[in-house]
Amino acid sequence: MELWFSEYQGKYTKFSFASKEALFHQKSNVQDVSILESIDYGKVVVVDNKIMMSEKDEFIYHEMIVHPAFMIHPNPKKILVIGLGSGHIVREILKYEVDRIDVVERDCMFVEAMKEHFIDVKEYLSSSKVQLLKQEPLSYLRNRKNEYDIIILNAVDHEGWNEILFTRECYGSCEHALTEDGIFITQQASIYSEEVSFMKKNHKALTSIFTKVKYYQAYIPTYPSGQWLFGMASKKYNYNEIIKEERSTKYYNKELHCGAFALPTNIKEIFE
Amino acid sequence: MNKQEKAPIFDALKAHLANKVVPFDVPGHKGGRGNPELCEFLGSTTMRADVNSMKPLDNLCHPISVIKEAEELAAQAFGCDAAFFMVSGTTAAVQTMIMSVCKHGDEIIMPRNVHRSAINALVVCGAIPVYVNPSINKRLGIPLGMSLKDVESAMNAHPKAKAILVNNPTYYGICSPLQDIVRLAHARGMKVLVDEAHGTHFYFGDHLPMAGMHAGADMAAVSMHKTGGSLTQSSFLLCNESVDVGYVRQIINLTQTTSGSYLLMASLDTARKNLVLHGKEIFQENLRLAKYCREEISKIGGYYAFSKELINNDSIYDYDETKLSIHTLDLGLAGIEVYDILRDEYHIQIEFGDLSNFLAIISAGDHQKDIERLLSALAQIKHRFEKDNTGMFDHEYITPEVVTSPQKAFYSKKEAIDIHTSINEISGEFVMAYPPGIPILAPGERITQEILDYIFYAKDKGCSLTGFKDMSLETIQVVREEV
Repeated sequence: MELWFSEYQGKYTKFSFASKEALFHQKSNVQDVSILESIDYGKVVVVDNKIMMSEKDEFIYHEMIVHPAFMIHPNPKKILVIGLGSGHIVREILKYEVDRIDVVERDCMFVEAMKEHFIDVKEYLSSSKVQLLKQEPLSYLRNRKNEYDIIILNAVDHEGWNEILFTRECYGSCEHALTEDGIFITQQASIYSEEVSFMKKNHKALTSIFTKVKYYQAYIPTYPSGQWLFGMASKKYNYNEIIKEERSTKYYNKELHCGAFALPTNIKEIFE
Repeated sequence: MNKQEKAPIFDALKAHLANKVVPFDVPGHKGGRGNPELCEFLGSTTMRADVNSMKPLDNLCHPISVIKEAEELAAQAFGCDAAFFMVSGTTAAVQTMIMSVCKHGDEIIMPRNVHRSAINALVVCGAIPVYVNPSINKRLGIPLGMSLKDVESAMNAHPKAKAILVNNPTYYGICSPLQDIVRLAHARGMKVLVDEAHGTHFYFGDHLPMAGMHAGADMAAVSMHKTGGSLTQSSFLLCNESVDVGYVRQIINLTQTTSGSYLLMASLDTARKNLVLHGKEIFQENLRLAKYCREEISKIGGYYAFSKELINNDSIYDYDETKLSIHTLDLGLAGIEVYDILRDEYHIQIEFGDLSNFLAIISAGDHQKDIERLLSALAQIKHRFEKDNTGMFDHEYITPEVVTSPQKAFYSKKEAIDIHTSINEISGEFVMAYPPGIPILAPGERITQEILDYIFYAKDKGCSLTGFKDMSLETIQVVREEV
């Protein structure tokens, strides 16, 4: 039997895939989470009817949200991840010599589901360097100062509860919590699925807090349109000054790093 | 079925829409077809529900069926003898209360920090205010409730006063000793009118200050739209058995529209039902959120989210913890400045900012995630703008000198003069910093240097000053000769 899941990428556009079975479904007070055993993409995590990750292409998202910042920051020791996501982000960060990875995640149900269905994630999270903080990210960040070398806003969706993370107050709190040469990374969705007005508003919020803001893109098949943007806000380091040797990766490399920051004209125009 | 599960106006409106009646009456948009742009924006159900009085929907001016039934359910819900659906805001409810008990030349006792609607009623009906000065909290710069001693001496000095008006609570959440005031007033044959523009939830939640009708007051004006979840401009006027409700209806009909909005009435009807059925949980959650906010704000530091610790069993007899009143002067910022920054830079709209505080309202529709945004924005504002607080205005209540009645002053011959040269003149108009809409000057009051200093400072800090005939605020109307 084929179970078909469809994600509405727009009002009149659907992306569908078939699954062998539904492995998990639960609703918390924050979100609705399903894990499907798909035929083409391996396990797929669906949050509020949107694909959050698939086993087949998650490496692209996770490498690209981690390596660009870590390759230009000379010595990132203390890292903050806002939103656990599927947890695979920790795998990429552990490829660097960090002292501590704090992961702040508001939904306990979600954490348990990821640990149960992704054995590797359970292992990454059990690292002595990882501290899982189960609380509201804004509340955690509010009074922190000069504490983290890199902060990654790892929230794929910017609607529902997450909308409060894509705001000036959240970016401001991150800036305040970063060290003097810190770097902030956020995902910025795809221009083909998002309202351009959201991206403009978000850009305005980001640039009101940080002076060095750059965007880069990656190709992620299971995300709407495949084209995906990330934002890098750096207090000191330039986006293209790579100072380290490559770690073992499947998507990211140094040439791609520079190329990813070269944006198509229609995207550049949004951020002008 | 519990009678309170019914919503007679709402149900009749739904039945009317289901009948697909062909409209050859007003409103002329005829279910939205006459205004397609608005219809697309508001939705066709909203437009189709915007109908006029008709037999199955009753008539607000003279209710005999579904509105009457809804009013009876509301009275039962609020624990009083009669309730009126008001569609011109709590302003109309406050004015009806005053005009129902006062005639030309009658005295009415009220705190000076009344809403402008109360003094407007005096301009219309010619009653004379006897002001009880609210105490002032020097640190916070806010007017408080009335102290029982001050109320008693005002009553002794003006034994013929017809009524006393009480704010329950004030805009900032402060309550006066209402039960004791009722006792004093009733012993002297005076009526007690309660402005509960900010107190709807007192009737439905636990651990909140006492509601006016429950304290034995004669009438109360309750802004259902402020914290109760009905649409803007809808309100309840409540009466106890001591009031002639037929006369009250006549007073309402003097000024109320004969085309009462069914959107507003249906919103009152469903909000009443919702609060009866779920009010306890809703306001318990509000209190939890407010408590969380106060804890987080104290962690941020600099701000002071005041609360029940202010209670002194007199001028601060009780405090409404759902009002998130926050003192900002210690950060070197005026409340109005924080208010403006929150809106302009963080897209967060709060209720009001005055010179030393701002107020965020937590009510039936609030959600934790929005609270988190507010708190983080406040932390950011502190990091970005905190400065030395010297030179900040440290109190804002100014005792008025009432020279003549508001009505006499308003209708007298007046002259517009340069505001800078107006000291010692008698004002012929209102001056208010808006919000909170409490008059700095009312018609008939002496203009002083202190008042002008306050007006200029408020203007400089970005308060919106209203009431002036001259919108540029260069000139002020002063009384020249009485009519």
